[in-house]
Amino acid sequence: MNEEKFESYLREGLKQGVESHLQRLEGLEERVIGALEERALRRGRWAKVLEPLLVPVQRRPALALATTAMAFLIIGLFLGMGLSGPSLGGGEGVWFVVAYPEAQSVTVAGDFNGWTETPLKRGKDGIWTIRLDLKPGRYEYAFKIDGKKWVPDPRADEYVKTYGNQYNSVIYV
Amino acid sequence: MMKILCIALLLNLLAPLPLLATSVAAVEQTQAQVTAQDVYDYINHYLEASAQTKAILIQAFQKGFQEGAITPERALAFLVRVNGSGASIALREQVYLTIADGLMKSVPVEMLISKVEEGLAKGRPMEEILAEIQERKTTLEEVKGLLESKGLKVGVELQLPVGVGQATLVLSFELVGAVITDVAGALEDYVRNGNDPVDSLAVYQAVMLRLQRDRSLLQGLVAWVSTAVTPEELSRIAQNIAIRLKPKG
Repeated sequence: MNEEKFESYLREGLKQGVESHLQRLEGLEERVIGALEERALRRGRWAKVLEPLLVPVQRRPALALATTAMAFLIIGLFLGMGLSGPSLGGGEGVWFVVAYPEAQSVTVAGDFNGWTETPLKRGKDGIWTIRLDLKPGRYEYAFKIDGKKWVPDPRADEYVKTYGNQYNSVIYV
Repeated sequence: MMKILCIALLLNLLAPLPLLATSVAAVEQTQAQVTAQDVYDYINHYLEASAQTKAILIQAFQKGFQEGAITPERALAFLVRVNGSGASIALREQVYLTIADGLMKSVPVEMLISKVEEGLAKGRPMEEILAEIQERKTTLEEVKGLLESKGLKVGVELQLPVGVGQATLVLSFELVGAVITDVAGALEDYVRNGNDPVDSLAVYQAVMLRLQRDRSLLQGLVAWVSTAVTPEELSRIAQNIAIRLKPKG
């Protein structure tokens, strides 16, 4: 086989390799998040033990807080304590994750979207997520629950006081 | 063999290009939608403001666009949002003029615009939003003055450490503005979070921590600022903020 022929074989082989690689990457984010949620929230013996914790926030605020903290712990453990850091799908992806089982809608607004509201997607057991592509920098933001209440992100890098003596969350990308 | 390796390398590098090109084209298309002229047209035809205010705004935005202090997209989004806020025309005009004054003084206005947007999103009264941005603008001016007195100005050439050597950097508005915004923001947050503005070392530490954590800043520039300004100078600005934020009466 001469060099030219060998080159063309190699070129074709590499092209096929890249294409199959791209196919495998398609929908990777969703698959990973889905699998993690599945694993984190799979009901078994532990689910029964935790059952009393999963009651409406209004009725059992202390237990609701504990549930939320546990949800963060589980997600944090599965994702290597770094949801907001590395991107799962390439680029400068930042995950915003918050647990609000009782909420009908959760949005995030901040410096990165001109304080317009970007809706989060509800996952199983009320964990809301969204991945945004952000440039490196510092961003203030807050979550809005059910179109009414602004709340800070328990996973933020820091908090700063803002209007009405409330707190904005801060993330460094 | 080298030729083969080069082709292989090239193929690997070029594989994501179509995707990248599509995203870049999409972003460019969005950005190309708003021009400076669109902003002036909006001010002239749709903005509820006096002729005098409109003239000041056009002049200020012209300067801002030239310096790279603000983009037409950002300017138009801000004007449309405030114009449609439902606040009185007099208050809206004062908000516009605060931003215009910042642009005329070459102060970075991104933090101010963001605070206006946040206030409107959270349904705060326009009086409160106005007071917030006026106070923050004063801090931005003080920080700009301090950094300029140390030589940090747009167009100035700075010798910055890069790796083991040094490089000359011509300061753009973007670079200087980002540093001013971070220093002013850190001072504001430090005081507003209830910390002691007289504790100069704590003030200095808070500011430097902010600069170091912000990955959008050049680390060489951060190192330069950390040696150029003193804890006492930053503490003085923090004390001025505390005085301005002190409840009246």
